Amino acid sequence: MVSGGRGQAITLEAVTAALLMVAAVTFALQITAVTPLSASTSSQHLENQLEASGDGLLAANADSGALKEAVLYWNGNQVSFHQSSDRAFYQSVGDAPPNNEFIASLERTFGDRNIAYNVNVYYQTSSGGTARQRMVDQGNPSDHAISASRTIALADDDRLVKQDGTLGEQISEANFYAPDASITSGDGEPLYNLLRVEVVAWRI
Amino acid sequence: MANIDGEDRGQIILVAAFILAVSFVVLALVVNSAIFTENLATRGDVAGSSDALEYRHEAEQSVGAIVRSTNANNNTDQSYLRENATQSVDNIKMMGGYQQSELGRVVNVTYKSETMGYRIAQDNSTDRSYTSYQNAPTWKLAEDIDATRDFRMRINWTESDLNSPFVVDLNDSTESWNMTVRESATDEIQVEVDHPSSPSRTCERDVTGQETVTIDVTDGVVADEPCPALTRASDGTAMWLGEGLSSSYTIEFQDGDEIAGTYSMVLDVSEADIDPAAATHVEEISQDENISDPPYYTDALYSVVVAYKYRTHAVAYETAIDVAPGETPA
Repeated sequence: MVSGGRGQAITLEAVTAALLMVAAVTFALQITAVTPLSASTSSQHLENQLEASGDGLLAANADSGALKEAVLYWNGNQVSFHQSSDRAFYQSVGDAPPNNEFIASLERTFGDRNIAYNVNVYYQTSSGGTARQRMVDQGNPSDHAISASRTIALADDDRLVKQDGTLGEQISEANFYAPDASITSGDGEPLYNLLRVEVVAWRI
Repeated sequence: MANIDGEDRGQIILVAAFILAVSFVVLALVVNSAIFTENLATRGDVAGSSDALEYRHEAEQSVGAIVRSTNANNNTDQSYLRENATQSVDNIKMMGGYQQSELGRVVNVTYKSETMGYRIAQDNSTDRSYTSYQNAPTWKLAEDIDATRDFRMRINWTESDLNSPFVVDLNDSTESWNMTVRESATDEIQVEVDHPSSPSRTCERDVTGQETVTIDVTDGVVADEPCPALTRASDGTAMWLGEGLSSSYTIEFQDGDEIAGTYSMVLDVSEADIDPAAATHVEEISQDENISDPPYYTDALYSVVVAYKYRTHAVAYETAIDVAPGETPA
């Protein structure tokens, strides 16, 4: 005959086995939890796509001339971009977009897709270093931000763009953020400065 | 647990659970390596190889801006153009090199050579008609032209009477490419391109109420919108300026008295072929102040060749870039 303690023993064994199973499954799941292609804001696919969008956007705007217009959309008296309220740069672009094709196309591309972006303009200083002028600032980028950049050359005879989009006065150290940084021996050397426009974008 | 029938059943369950646990771990490893493969597959074959081509395009555009600006400010001779272009490329090399080094790349852009040409323009502000120096409506601008770039026209629409058309005709000894500009019955601007090897094509733009209309002939833009007639036929055949002609053609304006405004183009041509001796010639100028009403020609850089070198830890790329802003594809 079977002794009285057997049912308890079998139950105990069953519970132990079940715990082991659960522990094994949990362990296995934890190993697979982090994947680069998991659907999340840090998905590699999304980052690749975002970077390609940024590159394409800059290339298209550079070819159409809108990028150059945007960096020259500067108010020399207020030392700020036109229509940028009390700061020198734009913040909430969606509410009050400036009269500016480059910013408008950024907003069209990223604005309604839960993507935040910053635009920085790096230029050469007279002493040979680089400095940054913010154009759009929407906060600190996350760890999964991408950056795309594009170089454009400004010539001595380039003109500032007025608020209504017409051409204003010729750029100079007095009315523009970037100085004439080219080293010249002759008077006709046409390069003014070389700017690198950087777009930093991230999902929010 | 004495006196049980299956005495080692508990052990079997434990062993089975252990085997299951190990197999889950192995499964996890297999799945992870599949994910890693997938991840690698989403990247380009050489990391950063597209950046080399991207910056090449940026360097080309930067040097192109310099070539345009150098030509616009030219008031002396070829050595002045060459000196300024060389110096600007040196500056681009320094500034661009510094900026790219911050991105972990070594980039070098150096001036190699240039092709000198001439810019023919009528850019006074009084919007003279497109006639010659001596007011002939049909006249040759230049002969034996190798290439044309940056051909832009700004038409004063109110002063032009394009009910009878104005024609830009390019011809070598056998073939002819021409662009006809006219005003349609509904006041639209019509640009028709006739081309040696495919049927003619027309684009129309509504310009009601506009005082000026621009045509960028080499870029294929009419009134700020792309004009397919100036670029490609619907079957993909090229139709841009001079397509189908040998590389030695003549540019002629026909009925230039119908149209008024300004124009400018840069030609790869020798000075003798702009034909200063003929009665229908353009007038040379040497100083900016002397720009007067009639068309003139002046020394210009047609193109500049720069050597481009790009290096990162993974990519080394070297090429020569021929910079001729506003040139139609060869």
